[in-house]
Amino acid sequence: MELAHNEGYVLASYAITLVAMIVIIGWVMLDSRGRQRELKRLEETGIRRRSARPAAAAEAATKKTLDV
Amino acid sequence: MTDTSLAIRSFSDLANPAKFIALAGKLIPWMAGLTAILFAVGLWLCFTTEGDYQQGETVRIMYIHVPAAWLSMMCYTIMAASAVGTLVWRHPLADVSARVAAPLGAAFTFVALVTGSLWGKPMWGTWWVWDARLTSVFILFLMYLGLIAFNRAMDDPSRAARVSAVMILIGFVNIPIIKFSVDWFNTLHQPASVVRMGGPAVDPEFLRPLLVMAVAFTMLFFTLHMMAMRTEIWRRRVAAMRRIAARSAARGQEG
Repeated sequence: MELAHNEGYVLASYAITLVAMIVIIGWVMLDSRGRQRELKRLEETGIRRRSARPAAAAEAATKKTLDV
Repeated sequence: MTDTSLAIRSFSDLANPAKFIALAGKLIPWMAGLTAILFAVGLWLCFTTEGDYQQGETVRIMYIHVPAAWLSMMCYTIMAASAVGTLVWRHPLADVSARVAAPLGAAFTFVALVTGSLWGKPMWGTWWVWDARLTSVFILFLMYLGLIAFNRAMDDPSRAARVSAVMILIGFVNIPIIKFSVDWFNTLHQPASVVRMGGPAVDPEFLRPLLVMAVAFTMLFFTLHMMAMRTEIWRRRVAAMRRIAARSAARGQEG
């Protein structure tokens, strides 16, 4: 077994691992940024989830329902 | 009385997605930094330690192959624990955890398979054999891909959660098979030499970089897992907000 020949296997292993890790890290980061952007855009249009409404507004809404 | 603060006081507080996001935002930069430091030290050790007297340079493949293989099993174990969380406690974050772990597990299993193959060629004289260890890890890889495909095919994540959890738990039978395949069957793959009765059979020269790389890969997994969980919560919020928008638009049209 020549040494130079074996070094190729070592380099290929590290290179493939590096590429796989870059792909998975890049995917997780891009996905995170994309969703964050979507969320911001939706919030800008004034859409709120029930649980994300300000406490005062939610309280007022509850009072109103109780009054009726 | 409702607690509106985002402080985490007990483990069950983590069930609140808003609290989880606040915690993740604080932890992720530190975890990422620690991962980078561990990889810097680990890789430095990988290439500065001596080669093996028999294997030569190829022993360095071990420093990525073994941690990736450990993580491929740890990731599935975390998914199985999450599946129990989904089925027993209906923990809102358990399904999120299981769902986002699958692509990460697939990536680590892929690395374990490819580096194993690249190690097998010079050491065993073959890229691949269908022995018990290699085949069971290949099945694990297919299971990850199957779970990813299933999750992508289902539109409603809450409906997918329970079916997915049952499938994960059925597949968990493969994990002890992978671990003990080298003891139960006659395999070309060597038996365990680090986690075994009687202590590690690996020389400290090789054990040091191996353990540092194992911790580095584990930290990388947890960092990515936490980031992906946070993203999945955001994805579900976006879907919920779109539903609200569609509903109010429909109401507007009616009125």
